[in-house]
Amino acid sequence: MRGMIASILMVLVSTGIARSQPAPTPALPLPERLAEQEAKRIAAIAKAIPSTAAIFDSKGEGGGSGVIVTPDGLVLTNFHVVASMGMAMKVGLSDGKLYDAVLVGIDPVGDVAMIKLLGREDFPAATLGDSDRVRVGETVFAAGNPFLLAHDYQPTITLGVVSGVGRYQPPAGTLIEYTDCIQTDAAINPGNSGGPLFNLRAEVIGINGRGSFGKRSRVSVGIGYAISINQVKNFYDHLHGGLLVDHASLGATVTTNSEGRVIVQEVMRSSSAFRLGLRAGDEVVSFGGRPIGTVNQFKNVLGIYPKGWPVELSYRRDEFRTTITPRLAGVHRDGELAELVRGEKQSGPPGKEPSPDKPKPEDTPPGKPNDPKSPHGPHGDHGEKMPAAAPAIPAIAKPLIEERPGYANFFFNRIQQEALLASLAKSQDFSAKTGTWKLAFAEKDGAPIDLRLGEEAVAWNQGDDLVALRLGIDPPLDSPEITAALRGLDHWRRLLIDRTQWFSKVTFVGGFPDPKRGHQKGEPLVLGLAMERAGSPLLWFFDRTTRELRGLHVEGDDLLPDVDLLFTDYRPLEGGSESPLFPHRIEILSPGSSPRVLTLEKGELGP
Amino acid sequence: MKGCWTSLTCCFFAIACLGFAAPLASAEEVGTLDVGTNAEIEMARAAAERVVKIYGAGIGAVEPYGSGILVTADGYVLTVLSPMLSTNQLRVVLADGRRREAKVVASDPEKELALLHIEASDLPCFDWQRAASEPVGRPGDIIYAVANPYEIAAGDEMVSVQRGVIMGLAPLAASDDRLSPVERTRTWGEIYFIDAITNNPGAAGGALVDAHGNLLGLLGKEYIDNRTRTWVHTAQPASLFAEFVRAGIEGKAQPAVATLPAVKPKEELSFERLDHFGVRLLPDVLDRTPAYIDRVVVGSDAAKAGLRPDDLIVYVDKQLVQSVREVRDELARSEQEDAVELMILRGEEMFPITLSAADPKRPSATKNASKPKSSSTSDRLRALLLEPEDEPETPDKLDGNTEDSKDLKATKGTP
Repeated sequence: MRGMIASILMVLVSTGIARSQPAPTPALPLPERLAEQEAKRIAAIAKAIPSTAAIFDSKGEGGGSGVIVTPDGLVLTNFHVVASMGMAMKVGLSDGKLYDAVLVGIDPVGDVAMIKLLGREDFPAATLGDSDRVRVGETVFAAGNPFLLAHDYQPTITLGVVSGVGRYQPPAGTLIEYTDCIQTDAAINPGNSGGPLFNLRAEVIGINGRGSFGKRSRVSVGIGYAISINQVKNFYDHLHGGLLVDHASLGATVTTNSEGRVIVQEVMRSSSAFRLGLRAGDEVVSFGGRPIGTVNQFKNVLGIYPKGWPVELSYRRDEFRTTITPRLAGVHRDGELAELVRGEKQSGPPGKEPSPDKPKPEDTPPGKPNDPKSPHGPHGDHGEKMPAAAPAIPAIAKPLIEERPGYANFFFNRIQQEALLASLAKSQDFSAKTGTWKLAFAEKDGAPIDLRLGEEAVAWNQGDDLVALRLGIDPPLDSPEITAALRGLDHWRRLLIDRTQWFSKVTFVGGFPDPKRGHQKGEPLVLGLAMERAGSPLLWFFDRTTRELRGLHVEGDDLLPDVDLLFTDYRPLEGGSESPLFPHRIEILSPGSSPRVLTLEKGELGP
Repeated sequence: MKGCWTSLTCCFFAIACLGFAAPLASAEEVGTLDVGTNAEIEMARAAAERVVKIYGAGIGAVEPYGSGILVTADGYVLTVLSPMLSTNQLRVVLADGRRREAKVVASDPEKELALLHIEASDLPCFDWQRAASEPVGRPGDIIYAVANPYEIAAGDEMVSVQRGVIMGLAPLAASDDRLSPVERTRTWGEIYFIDAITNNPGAAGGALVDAHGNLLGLLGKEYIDNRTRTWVHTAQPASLFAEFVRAGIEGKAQPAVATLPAVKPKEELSFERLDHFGVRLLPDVLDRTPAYIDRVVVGSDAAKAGLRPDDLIVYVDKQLVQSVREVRDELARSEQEDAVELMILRGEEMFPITLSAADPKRPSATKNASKPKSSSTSDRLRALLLEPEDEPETPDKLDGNTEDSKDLKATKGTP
């Protein structure tokens, strides 16, 4: 403590000296260009300040920073800032007011959380930038509440440059792993955690949350890290859906060989990558559209994606290069993450005044004064201050809180589910069409397809090919792709007839890349709704803005491949302009086979 | 706590400079700096290409990594003198990720400088002669510190770039009071004090450049004022190290660095290892004798593994080897005692072969793939400190000591 006081005194003393100097000469004129730059900087900072939030726990014991990203009050911050705050917290803005907020979603591995401010619909929201375009040397500034010193909630601004990009910072005794992060020399101190890193256009390029420390306890030594905002964008809908988000795993381990190439060491047989052909010894050439030359680069790509995303991977075996799009599995088993998070939550309030007289190991998140070596154990000195009973939830926050295992806040998940299903019911109500659906499709360069989707059986009749399935009975295996597609179409018919009868375990699962194109940076995501039918997991995709049903993903198994059905060209069926919208184009995507495009010629839905 | 714990009398000097001297920078000069522009970004990239990552020995509290600057296109690297360099396993990683073995060719304990050399050509480098002949930077000038603190960057990842201003130029009158009764007073002349926080492990030896990317100086070691517990951020101006670099490149400097007595026996041991598997290489008669296998002992592990005479060894334990000597060096640095992984070129064919000790009588053969870290650290430590083998010196015992005291011990021990 003494060290810090001394250094603060030092700063005060030196500024004192500077200020007390009588100006020896008249004020120097500022060169025009410099004046211009300064004016721009001041304008950017002025624009950034209102969206910067000071976050406190309900007891006023700890806190951090955040940034407002929507007018209805969604705020991004660090997981480690809110980890011990419970379901409700207080947020101070630069208008001097203190707002109530509730927890929305958390990404414990990525150290990101979303909370929602209450009481207004016109909060000043920041613009999100493109962190892939951030370059070393670029001027940036951090906004936040270091040392929790602003009692009027006016953010503190620290200016610096980008010191590095694409940094990988491994977990330091906690769950938290920073991948593809931005390194800056703008001072990031305890209390800055969760606050935004802005570029000079006042766009958020990162969420500050970590630093390399060491001998100077947990005070900035010019090396801070911000989570890239592009990573946060990938998780945005997940967080907004009240989820406890998991990160992704390829189901394979990689290592660098002597020639500096990244080689697959082992592949789990149950992984999507294995099913698509990846084997030990293959060289990873590119992943997620980026060339891969080091294990860090590989981890940087893996770390920016949520569990379940399809991500393109190119590998070389012998002379041949193959590109696959495996769907990434989760890092943690079901329930495992929730358990680990419980451990983190018990480890004490974050963002309190640091204690510089007790040196902490480097790389601890600055908002977190706990010993990262024992993150799960109860902490003596904080434990006393943490009564077992949660602080009282304010009345305004209560209706927005639904605690349920496996979710950060189930309320927000339910809201998202309801919105998607309500939209489906409104535009695609086929509840009266419970008979057999006879659909006649044309396929380019192929014979016409007569598709029957019935209550007991489904059939695909194309030229000489007939694939018929009695539902619930083991499928024939000579055309696994068509079998998989037929099963998917059966799920689809039932969803349009009744969204509740055959499906269980409905969960909003966040944003996913367009199933057809894979992840393309900047492309809008689709929203995922997971369900289960007879033990088989289904993933429905909806347009992010129109909420139109866009597709279905059915995971493959030992016998059947993965299959994606895409539905487009929505219009009323012929002869029934009053009828609900029906897709007139269905695409069937299955790895290993070429995509099939079916155009609806005629549809009769039996009542 | 790893730095040179020195009393620093000029500390207040430097801070005072901030107040007094800053207005002296002329407005025109400052106006030429395009802060936050593309030029600045290009400058950062160009400077980072001329900074290397150095990996050496980690002893006790000394970090086994550091930074250095390329001063010639053919592989001379300037850095600060550190016990980290006292190893035969010194490595330099270039900006593009290439790894090179490095040798200390000259050192100056007084100025705490070391000159390394790596085998390379056509490297981008800093113009240190120009830097030395030009006037020094002035207080208020914008500077960039380009180095690899905390070894954040690995392989071809770009080293860290920090921005600040020159706070002042002042002599570093430092006395190592912990080293009493000897008091060393450094009289280097004036050095830079900057406000960029460069006083971090691994940053020393990095580049201090101006806003155009021109070299100004070499980032200094970690200094703290023992009374105020204040760290300062320093750099030696190019004029200070120019003579040392010139002499070193011309081969006129003494390689006065503490060298490793342990190198020789370990080399012999490593050949013994290869012998043990039944492999005989070509006699090392040339400057770079290609690492062809001369003979394979019948019935040996090597024969069983399929090695044949005239096989060329191209990699040892995943390291490229281009001569018999490099094979030997690589074996010497390998921590695996009971297995060697070789990449063999036979005709057009390249394939890996792992030799593992089948003989259980061999005393050093253990089931563990790698030696416990602690023992290898203490080996290196012993080597560095020139302690006799039987003295039970452990890294733990040294944790309270300072880098400088170790430095001194090592220097003392050198004949």
